Amino acid sequence: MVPEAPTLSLAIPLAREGLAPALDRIEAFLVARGAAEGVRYKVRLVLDELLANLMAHGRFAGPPPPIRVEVAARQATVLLLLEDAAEPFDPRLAPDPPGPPSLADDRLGGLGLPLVRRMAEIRGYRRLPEGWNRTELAISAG
Amino acid sequence: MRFDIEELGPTASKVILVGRLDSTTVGGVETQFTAAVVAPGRSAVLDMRGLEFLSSLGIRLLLSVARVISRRGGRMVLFGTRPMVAEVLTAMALEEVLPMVGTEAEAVARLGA
Repeated sequence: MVPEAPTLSLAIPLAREGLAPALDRIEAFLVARGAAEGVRYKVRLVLDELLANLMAHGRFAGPPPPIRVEVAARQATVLLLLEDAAEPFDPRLAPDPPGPPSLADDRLGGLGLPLVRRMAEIRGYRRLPEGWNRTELAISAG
Repeated sequence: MRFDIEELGPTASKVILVGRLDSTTVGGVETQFTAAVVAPGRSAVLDMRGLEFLSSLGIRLLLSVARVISRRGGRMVLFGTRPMVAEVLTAMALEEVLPMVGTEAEAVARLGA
C-alpha cells in the first residue's frame, strides 16, 4: 500500500464509540514519529470528517464492515489510505458549497468534504475489484 | 467536551469551551449548549482558549448558535482561539460569521461595535 515508511494499519468499526480510541492511537503513532502538531491536527480532522461522513451518508449492502486505514509518516508528510465498503464515492467530485455560510442563510451542513480538501491533498481514488472504495490522501504542514 | 457559562452583565454571557468539539462529542452537548447560550437579546463571547479541536460538526453547532443569537438581536464573538482551530475557521472563510479576536476585552468591545 504505502511503501518505504513506518506504517500503522487499523480496522476502525464504523461507530462513534470506536472512533476516538482509533484517532488517539493514530495520534500516538504520529507523535512517536515526530509529526508536527499541525500535521497531527489535520490528520485527526480529515479522518474525523471522512469517517463521520461515512456514518451519516455511506450506503452499505449490509452491516458496514470496519474501515481499513493505513497511516504512514514520511518526513513532513503523512499519507493516509482509507478503504471502505460503501457504495462508490469519489471525494474529489463532491461539489463545494456556493460560498461561505452567512448569518442570513440557513445552510448548516456540507462543510466536511470542503474542509478535507483544504486540509489534505486527495491523491487518488479508485474502486477496488472487491467492491470497496480506496482513497489516498497526503497531509503536510503549512 | 464541556462548557461553562458566566454572566458578563444583563446582555452578555461568556461561554468557556474545553476539550474537543468533533463528531464524537457534538451530539452530547448540542442541545444543552444551544439552550444555555441562546437567549433573547443576549450576546455571547466564546472563550476558545481551552478548545483543542474543532471539526465541521462543531463548526455547524457554532454557526447554528451564532445565527439564532443574531436573529434575536445579539452577537457572538470568539476569543483566544488556538492556532489550528483558527486555521480551520479561516480555511472555511468563516471569519465574518464567527469573528475571532485575541482577548476577552476585545471580544466584549466587539459586541458593542
